[in-house]
Order: sequence, then structure tokens, then C-alpha cells
Amino acid sequence: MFGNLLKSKKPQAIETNGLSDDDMEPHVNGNGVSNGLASNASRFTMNNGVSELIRKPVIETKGITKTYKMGDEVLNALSGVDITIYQGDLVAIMGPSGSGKSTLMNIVGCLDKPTSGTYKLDGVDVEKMNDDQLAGIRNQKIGFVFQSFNLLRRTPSIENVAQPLIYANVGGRERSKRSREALEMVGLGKRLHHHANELSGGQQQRVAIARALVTDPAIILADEPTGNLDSKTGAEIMCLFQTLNAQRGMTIIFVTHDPRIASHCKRVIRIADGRIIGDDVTVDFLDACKGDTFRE
Amino acid sequence: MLFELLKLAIRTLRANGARSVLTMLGITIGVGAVITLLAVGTGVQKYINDQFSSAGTNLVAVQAGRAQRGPGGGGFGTQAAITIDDYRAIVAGVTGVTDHAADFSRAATFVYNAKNSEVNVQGVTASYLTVRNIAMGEGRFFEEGDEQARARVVVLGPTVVNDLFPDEEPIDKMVRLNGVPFKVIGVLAPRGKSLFGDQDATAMIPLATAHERVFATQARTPNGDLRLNTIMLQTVDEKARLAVKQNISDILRVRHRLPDDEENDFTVLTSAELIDAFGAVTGVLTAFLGAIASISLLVGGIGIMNIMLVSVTERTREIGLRKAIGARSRLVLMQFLIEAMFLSLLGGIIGVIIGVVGAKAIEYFASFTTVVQLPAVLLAVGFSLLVGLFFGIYPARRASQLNPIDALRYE
Ligand SMILES: Nc1ncnc2c1ncn2[C@@H]1O[C@H](COP(=O)(O)OP(=O)(O)OP(=O)(O)O)[C@@H](O)[C@H]1O
Ligand SMILES: [Mg+2]
Repeated sequence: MFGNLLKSKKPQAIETNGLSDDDMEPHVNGNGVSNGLASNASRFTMNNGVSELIRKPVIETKGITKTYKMGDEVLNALSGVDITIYQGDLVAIMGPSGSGKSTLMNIVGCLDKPTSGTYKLDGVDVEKMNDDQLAGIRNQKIGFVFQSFNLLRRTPSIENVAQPLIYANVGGRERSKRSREALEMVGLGKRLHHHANELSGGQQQRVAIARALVTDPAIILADEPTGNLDSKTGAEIMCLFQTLNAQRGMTIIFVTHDPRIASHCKRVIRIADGRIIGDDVTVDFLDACKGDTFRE
Repeated sequence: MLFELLKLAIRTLRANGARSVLTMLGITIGVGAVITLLAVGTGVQKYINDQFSSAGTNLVAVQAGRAQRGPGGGGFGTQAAITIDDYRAIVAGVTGVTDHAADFSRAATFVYNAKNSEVNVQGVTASYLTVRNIAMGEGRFFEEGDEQARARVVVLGPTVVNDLFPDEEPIDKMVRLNGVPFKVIGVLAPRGKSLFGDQDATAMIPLATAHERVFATQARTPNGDLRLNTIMLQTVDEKARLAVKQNISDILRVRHRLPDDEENDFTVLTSAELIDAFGAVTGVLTAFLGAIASISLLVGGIGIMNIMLVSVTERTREIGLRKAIGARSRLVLMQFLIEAMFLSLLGGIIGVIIGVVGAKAIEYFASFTTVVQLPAVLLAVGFSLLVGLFFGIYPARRASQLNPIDALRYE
């Protein structure tokens, strides 16, 4: 799988602005980032082995399995997953339905525990933590964005965003200040007091992202954040992720079925049948905030 | 944090307005019923105390027949009677008594100005007013001399005056009792209704006059003795009561020639005993009413539990989300507990208001004093909080133990 990838010593911090818009079409129509190489020689992908030396790993899993017992049948949702994700990564996870993407995300997000294997988050063994400590980690280190948004209906967006801060024991004034900032960041500065059910799908997802950002976590995990949105709105979300990744250095991992979305990521991990089948780094990923198709 | 959870609870309850109100209703009705019924019970108790203490607590009363299980216990024996000779013997033989009185009362036809009515006529000794602690309205009461002279003088209760002399001055008017002419010499001060009826619907005449002139045919026993309804003695103090009671018993048993194995054919009651007896009855009544009302509180509590369980199921995804964004189990538990307790506390407070209004309404429409006591209010409010806590714990625990992943997946 990795054989067809060019190795490159170029550092990953690249100028996305350098890409011209007409580059996008053939790329987007391809079967994914790693195939871009075949169609266009100007693209570089690289094995992330190089960058391991440079950057600090925030997520390290070794031999993670997850088994569900359904009566007599045993279902291996994950069968030995080793991944390492570095600070500042922008990772898309792709794979067919039922391949274990959500299962993996939930484990990485400390929402679920693996059946076996080890998981280190920021160098700390997650298996050794009790439920309260895990809740603390979910609150402080991780921002989770769900496909179905999971907002509190009939609650103003600013209150929705403020919820994690309540559990972080942040005082009322500070809370609303930070919630407002987070909403401004996702471009909803004018929708602070709209109730969640009065917003469009894209806006709701942005509120959900603001809620994930508000605690200023190191990692944002998003399970099909654009799955319920049209491609234009999906691009807006993608642009937001790129901006957060570039400006704040947040590590962002998300699941998507859409190759166009994935083409905006630095790294694409492919998963099938509970195993990693591909892990490619794209040097010249697209700028979601500029592309024609994704233009707001 | 507690404050945040409280705000959250209020917002959630407001968002589900109709349901919250209906849930609260159970507790509200329960607490309202407890408050009102306790107020009525306490009112009855207070009323009885007032009744008897107005008659003086050092009073000992002797009546014919055997009282069966306390006051109002019904049937006095019929054959035995107490007589004026018993009265004299008691007065002569009992020590520790400051004053005494006796009465003989029957219904009589009362005629004035061609107006005819049936009135309870009490033949009483001149001392009756003092012993019973009754005040005069106008005119005078009769004296020993009137009694010895079997004077045909009558003192009327206010109800009789209202009925028969609506716009006339009754004093010095001539009336007829069972056909015997009488002169009205006074009117009693109003005393109001008692447990046994209107105390003001009475006409008092000297005992001897009643015996000899008005009720001559009914006044004598087969042996020719003059009957009495009640003998009343005022003891020097509370402590003398029991001794006096025993003393009377001894004298009457000898006079009535009762063998040792036979029970008294008369009843000696003290006012304190009456208060106690009534107090016991009303106490049981109050407890009974309270118990019934508590059952409705219990039902209200089950209603809260029911709704909270529904709420937990309905909000499974919310719970999953809260856990996913870092709520610890204990906080989720507290959130639901606070919701349940807030709901029941609010229901309880509204219940107290409704209960007090209910008690006042009873007082207004039934002209009956009710007493809302602070301890009862605190008890009811505290109890409703406990109901919320007790019935909220199970749903709250269910919520807090949800696994975030399963909860988020819940449809
Ligand atoms: N709670 C569970 N109980 C039993 N099996 C489960 C459970 N959760 C997931 N699975 C199974 O594990 C496998 C992986 O599921 P997962 O949700 O991770 O797939 P996915 O890659 O996210 O799929 P999709 O793209 O459709 O979201 C599936 O076969 C699924 O049926
Ligand atoms: Mg999934």
C-alpha cells in the first residue's frame, strides 16, 4: 500500500494558497488523496515516518481490538489497530461502512474502552484511568463533534457552547466570554441567542464545533461532521478545520466518506474490516477556504 | 456548580412546562391536603380546649347513668337517676369544693305574644352562672331568694331573644312556659355554638320552680325523689379533682345501694378528663386525616419517579452528550436529583399555599376555626423534598450510570 508513495523530506507546513483552483478538479475526481500521484505528478505524498522525528505524538494506539459479543457470534469491530497521531495533524479517516471508524474514534475520544491493546493520550495510559478521570480528559483535552450535532434543542447556541465549561468549573462571566469567542470563530457571532433548532444544519454543526473548541482542547475528533450536510456546507466546515489547524495548531481527526473532503487533509488513514489499510500524507492538500466548489 | 445545576433544572422544567405542572400536581394536592386537614384537626382540638376551659378546668360533673367510653359515647343508663338528695349529700360530704350547682332541664312550650316555640328550659340553682362561668348580658340573674320562693322568673339566652323578641326589649315582658306565666328578668351574654348545639338557645329558671311548677309531672322518680340532670362542683384546685371524684363516687354508691361487684349507675366527669378524652379522639382523627393525605403525597412521589424515569429515557442522548463533554457521573446524578427535588419542593410550596387557602376557605364557609401551624407547614415542605429525593434517586442513578456511547447511540 505504501509502496506507491513518494518519500519526501519536505516539512509538512505548506502554503495552501500556492495551489491554483484548476488543480482541484482532477484531484477531487480521483479516488482519493493517495491516487492523486498517478494523475498529477506535481502532487507529493509522503509516509509520515519522517515527521515522527519532528513532532510530538499525541495519540498512540498499539494493537487495539474491540470485540462485540452478539449472542454466540463474536464481532471484531477492530482487530489490532496501531496508529500514531502527531500534534498539529489534520487527519481524515476513511473506510467503508462498518469498517470500525466510529468504534476507533470513540476509543480515541475516551468515550469507549478497547477490548485489548494500549492507548496513550499525551503520553498517559488511558486504560489506567477511572471514569471520572476520563470525563476530565474528555472535558479538557478532547473536543468531540458528532455527525448528528447533538445540541440541546430549545437552548440558545451560546448556552450550548458553554456546557463543557460548566463541567470545567469555569465561572459564569468567563464562560459567556469564551463561548462568544468560540461562536465568533466559527462565524456565528450573530447567532448567539438563536436556539439550536432555529439554525440550519451547517450552522448547527458549527455550534457543535464551537462547543468542541470552547475548552481549547488539544484534539478535535469529529465522526462524519459533514455527513449530514451538503457539499458546500461541508466545505465550510472543512475550511474551519483547516483554519483551526493552521492558526491554533489543533490536532484534528475526522471521519468522512467524501474523497473531496479528505483531499483537504494533510493525512488520510484508510480502514477496512477493523484494520488500517492505508496511511498517507499529502503534501499539497487543498485549501478548503479557497476552492471554487467549496466557496461560501 | 450546584447553582448551575439548579439553573439547568429550572430551564429543563420550564421547557417541559405542562408536564412539569402535571407532575407537581400530585405533590401539590398531597401537601395541600395535609395542610388543610391538619389545620382542621388542630382547629377542632383548639376549639374543644376553649370550650372546656371556658367552663373552668376545675369542674367536676355528675350525671345519671353510665357513660360508655367517654364523652358522646352514647346511651346513659335509663333506670338510675340522680336526685336532689344526692346533691345535698354530696355537698354535705365532699371537701375541697368551692362552689356547686345543679340543673334539671327539659323542653317546654314557650309562648309570647301568641308566638309559640319549643325551648330547652333549664332549671338551675342560683350558683349556676358562677360555676359554669357564664356572663350576663342585661338585666339580672335570679338569686337564692327567687329559688326558695319558686319565683316565676326567667333569664333568656340570646337565641331565644332573637327568635321571640326580634325588635322588642324582652326585660319585664311576661311569657308562658308550659302555660305557666313567667317574667323575663335578664338576658345571658352570647356564648355561641358548642359541640352539643347552640348554647344560647336556652331559658333558665330557678331549679325549684322547674321542679314544682313547670315540669311537676316529669320531675319525680317513681320513689318520689326530685331528679337532676347534672350536679357540678368547682374544686379548689386541679389537684383536688381526683379526691373529689372519688369522694362523690363513694357517697353515691352508698346512697344508691350498689353492691361491690356492680358498676356505678352514675358518671363523674371532670373537665380535664373531657378535654383529654376529646383530645384523644381528635388526635386520632387528625392522625387519620394526615395519614390519608400522606398517601396522596406518596402517590405524588411515585408520579415524580414515573416522570423522571420517562425523562431519563427521553433525554438519554442528552445524558450521553453531557458525559461525552465531560460531565462526571456524580454530576449527572445530581442534575436529575436536583430536578426531581426542585419539582417536588415547588409542588410542596404551592401545596402549602393551596392548603392554607383551603383552610381559610373552610373557616369562612363553615364558620369554623382552623389553625395552620408552622411545624405542619415545615413538615409538609420537608416531606415533599424528601419525596423528591427518595423518588428521584432511582431515575437519577439510572441516568448517571448510562454509558456515554450507548446513550449517544440511543434513538
Ligand atoms: N454497540 C455495538 N454492538 C454490537 N456491534 C457493534 C456495536 N457498535 C458497533 N458495532 C459493530 O462494529 C462494526 C463497526 O462499527 P462502526 O460503527 O465502527 O462502523 P463505521 O466504520 O463507523 O461505519 P459507518 O461508516 O457506517 O458509520 C460494525 O459491524 C457494527 O455493527
Ligand atoms: Mg460511523
